[in-house]
Amino acid sequence: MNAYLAHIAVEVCILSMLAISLNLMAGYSGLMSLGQMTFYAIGAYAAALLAPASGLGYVIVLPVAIFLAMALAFMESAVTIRLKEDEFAIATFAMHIAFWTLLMNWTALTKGPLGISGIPPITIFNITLDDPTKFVFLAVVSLIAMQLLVARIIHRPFGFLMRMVRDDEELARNFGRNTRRFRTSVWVASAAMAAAAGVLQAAYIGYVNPSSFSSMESTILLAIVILGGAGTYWGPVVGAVIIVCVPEGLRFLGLPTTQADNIRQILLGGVLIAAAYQAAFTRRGALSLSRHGAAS
Amino acid sequence: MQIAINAGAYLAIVLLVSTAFFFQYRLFRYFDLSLGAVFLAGAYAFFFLTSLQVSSFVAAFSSVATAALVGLLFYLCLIRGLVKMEASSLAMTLCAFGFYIAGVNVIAMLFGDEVIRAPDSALSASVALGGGVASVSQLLEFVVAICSVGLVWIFLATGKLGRLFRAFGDNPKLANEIGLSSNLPILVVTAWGAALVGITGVLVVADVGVRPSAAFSYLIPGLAAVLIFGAKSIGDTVSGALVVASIGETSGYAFGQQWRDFAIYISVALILAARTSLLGINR
Amino acid sequence: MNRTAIIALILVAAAGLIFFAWQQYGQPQTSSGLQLGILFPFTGDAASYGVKGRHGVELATDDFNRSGECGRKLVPVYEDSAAQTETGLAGFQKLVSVDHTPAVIGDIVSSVTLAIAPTANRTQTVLLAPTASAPAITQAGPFIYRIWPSDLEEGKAIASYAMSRNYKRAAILYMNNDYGSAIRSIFSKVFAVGGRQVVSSQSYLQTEQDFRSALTKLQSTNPDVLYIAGYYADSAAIVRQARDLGLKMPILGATAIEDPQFLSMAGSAAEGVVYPLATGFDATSTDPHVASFVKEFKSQFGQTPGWVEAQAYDAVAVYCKASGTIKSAPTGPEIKAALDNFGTMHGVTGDIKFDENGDVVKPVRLRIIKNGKFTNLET
Repeated sequence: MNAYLAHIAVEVCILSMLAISLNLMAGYSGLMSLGQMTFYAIGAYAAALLAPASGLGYVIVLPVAIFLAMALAFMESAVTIRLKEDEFAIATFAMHIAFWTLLMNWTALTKGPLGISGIPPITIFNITLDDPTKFVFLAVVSLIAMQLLVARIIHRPFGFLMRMVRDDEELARNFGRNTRRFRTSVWVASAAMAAAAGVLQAAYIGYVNPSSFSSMESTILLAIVILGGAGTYWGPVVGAVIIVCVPEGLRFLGLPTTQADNIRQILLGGVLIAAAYQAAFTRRGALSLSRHGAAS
Repeated sequence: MQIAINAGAYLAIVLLVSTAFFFQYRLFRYFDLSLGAVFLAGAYAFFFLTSLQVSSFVAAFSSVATAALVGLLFYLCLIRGLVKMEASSLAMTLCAFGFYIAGVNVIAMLFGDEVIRAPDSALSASVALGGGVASVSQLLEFVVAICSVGLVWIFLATGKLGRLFRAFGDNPKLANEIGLSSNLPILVVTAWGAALVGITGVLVVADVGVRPSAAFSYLIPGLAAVLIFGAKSIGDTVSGALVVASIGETSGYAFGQQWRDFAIYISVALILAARTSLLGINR
Repeated sequence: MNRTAIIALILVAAAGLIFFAWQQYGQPQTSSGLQLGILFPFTGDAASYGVKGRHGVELATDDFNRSGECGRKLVPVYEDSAAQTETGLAGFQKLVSVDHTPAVIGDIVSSVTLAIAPTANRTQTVLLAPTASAPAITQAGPFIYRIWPSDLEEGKAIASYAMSRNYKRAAILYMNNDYGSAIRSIFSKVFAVGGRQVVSSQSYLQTEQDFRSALTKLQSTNPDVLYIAGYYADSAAIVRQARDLGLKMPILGATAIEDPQFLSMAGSAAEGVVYPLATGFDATSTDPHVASFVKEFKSQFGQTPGWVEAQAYDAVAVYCKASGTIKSAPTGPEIKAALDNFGTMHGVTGDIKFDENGDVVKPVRLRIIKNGKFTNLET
């Protein structure tokens, strides 16, 4: 039982980290990205490709993965710099699908849908974390570290700028803030976090393949952030807990499982629709469900 | 010649879907992703009816009506409320996306995830065409696409449609106040767009078959067509459709089928980046 | 109720569910039954295969519990993998740590099998895959077994056939998933030697049904044979559209097309398609064991079983034979030892024998569609 609960805990932690990274962009800064999975995938595939081959420790693999993700985020940001919110969402979606198609087709590098197996587990102080009950400690520590990092960001002037840009970009620009450079920095930071989560996931499961990073997963991630409360500090964790624990809990109730996935997605669709109505009702500029946002 | 036929059929589908996108974008400035669910509604209604031995003609007509109904219901129940609240484009787009996801899964629950194809009928018969072969469906796709574009152009030219579009485009607040969002012409236009997408669904399921997850790949090229040059006039959208179809078919032909969608997605991203102005519409 | 309250409520409910589960299942089971984990995709893109597999397992459970062949009462525990690595891993982890099943039959798809293999080896749980075919599974570890031959066998068989017919220019259309990718690359490697070449190789997404552009493109390269590496719905569409477009070259298919849906969707275009059959199952066989299986299946489920059902049935049979010799509640290592000394079992999918890697040793047959029926190819 312990191993099972530990496994659930690990998945919640990693998904929370991913949701936190998207929350930084979408929740706090109003940059509704439907392509966050791209950076998660970069982290995972960097681990898959670099860790086994050269025996490079994860001490090296992690920074490399983060660097690659940040570079791609920088490029994507340059391309989408002037887009308004809904065009931005569509553009990020399109770029993600293009990236995913590359993962599937560039078989020489990624082995396409066959995936890459045999990713070595992380070893810390001579303890090999190949077991959920051991890995869970690293997962929890990483999650806490990331939350602390986010806390620092949002309570600094940078964080205030984030919320100002989200709620009224015109105003922010009038105050002389370079909103474009700001958008890029948020995106780059968020990509780095997502990549870190990706490295952890790859090292934990030991196998990657493109189906974990599809466009549906990207949309589900946005729904998680919205569900838990976009722009709130603990929102992403709440969303991750709900998304992981409720289906797992349903396993024990022995519900007919053939429709479970369909029902889950229908509920996600419902979340998006409800979020749209909520946003319209509170008249925010971006899709924020936070009731504690910047002054309007 | 076969290449031309393939390209023409592809272009036709892009035109049909992008016209529907055009209507919703021109009116309300959002990307009506719910059209994916409308597509499936048309396709599955046709499949369902023809497997009950209903004649193709009656089945087609009913299926298109079903699709139009789905599109209309989506508008009345979900979008109109958002329009009245002056919701942001993003909120409306996400609402449409949510409806699409829900719709796809409802279809999957009812009919399963597997591929379905309507029984062989007049629509799937092959026709020799100057050195190449086309299916009747493909020909119909092309004919309907051209006619619908023509009709839109006529209505825009005579002013009726144009007035409607401008009313909402220029002053949504006032349009809302005078209850324009429930105006009959708007409903007609919405149903018209949905019907076009429904026709596409019917023709595709009669010709090659569909499965729930396939709706997406029919949706994206249509969306791309509207994104490229905008939706100031139907001409913009048609040009966009031509560009999308060309990029798709040539990259598919040059690099292989698997790169066709990739080329379209990358082009969408790049073109969005290259455009400096907003889609030519006052926001 | 405000949002915070709703969220809090959901969290409490989730925590409650988990706690309840812990209470119920946290203690090791001391049931008198023989626990067997079943990890199949019951939702998602591969759901139809999971459901078929389940029917096979259910029939096998009934049969063996009735005949008492397993020694104890067989108790299958079903979990959904959704053909996704994360879901599959969670399901497998639950079967191992909560239900304490010493063996798990799964998965239908290779990607999940590969993802859970490390955990199976680590927890010393036997993993018996009924239909997973990726070549990488051969090296997946000591506790991994399968009764479906590696894609290597299928790819080699059909490529050798193509070579024996003196085809020199092959065009390939393959589904971009683990199955299509694997058999295509093996076919290419085997075929493209000594003056033969693969003149065109295009992949397509699982959702694709319109192949006319791809077919037009490959036609321009003048192939003398077309190899389709996919499942039955897309293969049927390709075959039909190819003939409609006037392509006359012979067509080779994959094992997955042996499905009645393929015949009904492809119609007369299916005539003459040659394909390898990696399963030994033949519903028309006169072998008494097979015939009674088919008869029972038909009476219980109202349709003729296909190879998914048969493979699942045999997987349970293998488990039964392996654990039947063990006196007390079997553990993973004990079952593994039994499988390593398995000998040969005559199942509904043919004779089953394992090699040193846990792969089944099964010759691949060639079949052809003649007069609208699947028949063995006479060489």
